[in-house]
Amino acid sequence: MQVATLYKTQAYWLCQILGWTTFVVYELVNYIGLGLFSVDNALLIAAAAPLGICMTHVYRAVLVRWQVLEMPFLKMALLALTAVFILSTLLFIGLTLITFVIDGREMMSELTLNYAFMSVLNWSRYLFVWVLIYHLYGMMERINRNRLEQLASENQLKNVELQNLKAQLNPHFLFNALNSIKALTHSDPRRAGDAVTLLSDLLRYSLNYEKQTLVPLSDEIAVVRDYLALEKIRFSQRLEYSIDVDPAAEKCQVPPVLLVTLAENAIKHGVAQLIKGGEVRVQALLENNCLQLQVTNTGTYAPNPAREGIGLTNIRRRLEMLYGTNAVFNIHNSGNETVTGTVSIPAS
Amino acid sequence: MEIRTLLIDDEDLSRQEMRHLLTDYPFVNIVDEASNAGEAKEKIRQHRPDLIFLDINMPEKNGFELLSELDESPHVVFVTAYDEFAVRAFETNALDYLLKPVRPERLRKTMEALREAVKSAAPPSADVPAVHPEKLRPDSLVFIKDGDNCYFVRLSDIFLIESEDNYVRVHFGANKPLHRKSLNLLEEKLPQELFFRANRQQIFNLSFVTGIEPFFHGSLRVTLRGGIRVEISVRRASAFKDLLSL
Repeated sequence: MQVATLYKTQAYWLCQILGWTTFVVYELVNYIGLGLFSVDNALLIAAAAPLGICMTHVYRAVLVRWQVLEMPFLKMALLALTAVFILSTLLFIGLTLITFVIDGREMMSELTLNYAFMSVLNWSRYLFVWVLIYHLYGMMERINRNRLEQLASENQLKNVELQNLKAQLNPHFLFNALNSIKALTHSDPRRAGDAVTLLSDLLRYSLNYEKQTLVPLSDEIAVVRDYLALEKIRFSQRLEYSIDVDPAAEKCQVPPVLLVTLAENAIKHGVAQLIKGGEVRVQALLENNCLQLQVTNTGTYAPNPAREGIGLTNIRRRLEMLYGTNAVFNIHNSGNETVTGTVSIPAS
Repeated sequence: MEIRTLLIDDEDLSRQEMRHLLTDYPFVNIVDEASNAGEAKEKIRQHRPDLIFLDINMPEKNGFELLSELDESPHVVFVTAYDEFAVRAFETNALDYLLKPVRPERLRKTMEALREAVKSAAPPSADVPAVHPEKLRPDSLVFIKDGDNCYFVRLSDIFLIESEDNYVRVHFGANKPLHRKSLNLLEEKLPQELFFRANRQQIFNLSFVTGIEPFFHGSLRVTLRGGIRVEISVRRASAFKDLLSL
């Protein structure tokens, strides 16, 4: 950033010097060509260049101070035109003063209102070019910067989405499922085909779920069923599962992937850790206008207080965002070798 | 050449898939399968395989924990679905690791490397008539897990073993990880022609000795390659002299 600013300052001064030098050369050639060359004229033109640089440099400071380049186009254009007039007038006055100091009397006789006006108009041609270039460059820079900012924010959004996806789809599960399916393609191609369908539905659901904040419980249950069916292929006799849903609860709205995350946790920290395997029981029931989602699994809950798993943290965060204090989530050892995770949310 | 192989994975389908992939390699003889670390430990003792395909994530004990419990490690190919620490383990010269689902051409590379490794080192085969089947050989591989760091080290590369509380610190190269075994148990397993018990705390590798000098009261002091000095206690000094005169 600092290097860029340094580079820009250098470029600015280079442009100033080159521009005004070009002006001097151009004017001299013009005078010589028209046969109007005189030492006085040459000196006047030569004096105009440093004076012009000083004035435009002050103008630049004003632009920066007032942040004129950030203003709406019309306002900026009006200000720029006014600036051209003021700068030309000042340049004229400055040059007149210099001439007056050098040889006052002779010059005063030529100074008429018409002459002054024409001179200002003459100077304004050059200053107009200066202002036009500076403002166009500034506008271009603003457009570029806006586009970069937009790209950066889009990128950030993508990252957030990706992070969410990572949090919801455990890669360990995904690759193990694919590996199981690969094995089945030799031994049981039909079952392999079914498994691919299950996995596709699951993937589709987790890729699309962000578009909705809430889904019917029946949709979520269907995905939990797919998920557990896939894990059943992987763990075979090590996993038994049941899904029990109160029909009255099926139309309730729930945050998507919530129950899947709970089931995933039950497998990852419960059944997968046991040599003999175990059971996962998913239940949903309606009680006092309150929906209870419950996942019970074989295993022991031994939380690590230093860092709760990303799955559980996400559940807590999402529930808080959606329901404030009206949702309850807890996970505990519900019996000898069983762990229960419960989410209670308002049913309406 | 036949490579006696044990498949270790908690998922039936995963073992089935590995078995299927290995049908391309007739020199691989799958002697058995194990579905958890405990079973695997038993079967490794029973079959003494040259090679194991080892899943890292298993119930109760993971693959690393299994390896660190073995006195001697067979050649190991880790097989894992998604594991950041598999890659870390790999920086320590394990034979190889494969990601599930395994690509056949990737497995081919592994098998080529394996043939080289097995050729260069006589594998701990059951058909080698071992006088002391419980003894390690100089080319035995030992797996050491110290925290997150894992090492496969050839016994002959270890120059010093020191007791530290109930465990031992194993020195090789520039590493000195803590190994969860007792010095006394380890001493019984080490080949006598290579390792010498210098005192209550230390066992050193004879092939690393660069100098011997008398020390206080009839004890001796040896200097190992790299400059580490080890004192041989008075009680052990005579045994050491006997060893040298042989």
